[in-house]
Amino acid sequence: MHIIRQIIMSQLFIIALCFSAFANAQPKTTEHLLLGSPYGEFCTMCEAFVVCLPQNEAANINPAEPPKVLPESGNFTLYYFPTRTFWQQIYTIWEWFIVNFMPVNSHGRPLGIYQPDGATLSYQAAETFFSIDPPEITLPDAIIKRDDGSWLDKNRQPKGSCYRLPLWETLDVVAKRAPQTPN
Amino acid sequence: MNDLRGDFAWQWRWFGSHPLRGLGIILHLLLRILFGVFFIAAGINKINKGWLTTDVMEKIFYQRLTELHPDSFAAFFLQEFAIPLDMPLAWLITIGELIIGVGLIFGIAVRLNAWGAFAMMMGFAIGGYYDASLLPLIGMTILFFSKPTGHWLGFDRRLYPLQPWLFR
Repeated sequence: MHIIRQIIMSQLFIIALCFSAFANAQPKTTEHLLLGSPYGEFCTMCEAFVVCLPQNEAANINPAEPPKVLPESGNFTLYYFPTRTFWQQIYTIWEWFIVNFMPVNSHGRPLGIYQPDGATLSYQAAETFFSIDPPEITLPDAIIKRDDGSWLDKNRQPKGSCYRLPLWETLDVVAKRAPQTPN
Repeated sequence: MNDLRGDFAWQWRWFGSHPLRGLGIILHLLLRILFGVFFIAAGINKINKGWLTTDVMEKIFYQRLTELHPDSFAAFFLQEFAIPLDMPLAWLITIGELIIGVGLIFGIAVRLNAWGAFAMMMGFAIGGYYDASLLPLIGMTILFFSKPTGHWLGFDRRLYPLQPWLFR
């Protein structure tokens, strides 16, 4: 009986700890960031396309009217952010748990890089890293600043600007222009 | 017999003579308590985010709708069932998570609460929120349902004579 009493007391302690920790847990909104959400970080099962244009081409774009379709030609890089991998999805159990005690500011996920190759798009698989603080997406060849969409090279020198494209329409375009890739 | 513990007892002698079973029971109970804490955390976070008082649930559903293929069953489910019932669902999920969490931590109606957690997660999966993290969580609910863990540790043992089907 003594042991049971101790275990029940420890459970009560766990509950009290939970309530004190969770009562102060504030949801982190990332709505203002590229690929952000009002309900937290870019979600595990979400997909997105982001097109990055070099400075000379991005200069012609009205910020109030960002591009909604993939350019037919020109010098651009299309980044595809698919859902997180199977094991990364499993790992989200820990992320959801620990976020109640301390901020979780970053996560990794797969990446597809498309670049124009004549009339088609070449494809390269890679890994990427999302961060809220600092608000950046780290790519193998560049960095995207999530607060203003600027595209930086590895030395953090500006190389252009990035824009989110509509998912389903862009998937259709990619299926036509890069039929050999996973999409 | 007024509980379902069988020969199990919180005695060093019992653990000494059943080391593997004892380890299994300890791990099982640890998992149950962690699962309960996870659910309470989820419930409290939802309260903090205004799930019970604002239209945040509806916004979440509409956002998810843009991410799902328009022809998918999940999109149909959200449009025809979840979005029209957003507020009742927000309450059901939030309060349900808190009840399940408390039940699992204190060993009160563990099997019923495990079934509730299972049903809730299946609902998430059907509603377009499937991801692989649901697999181990669903597996755990089946584990909690399969054994009388509330009789190993919790109030089910004491409550069982009052209502055997509820506290079994």
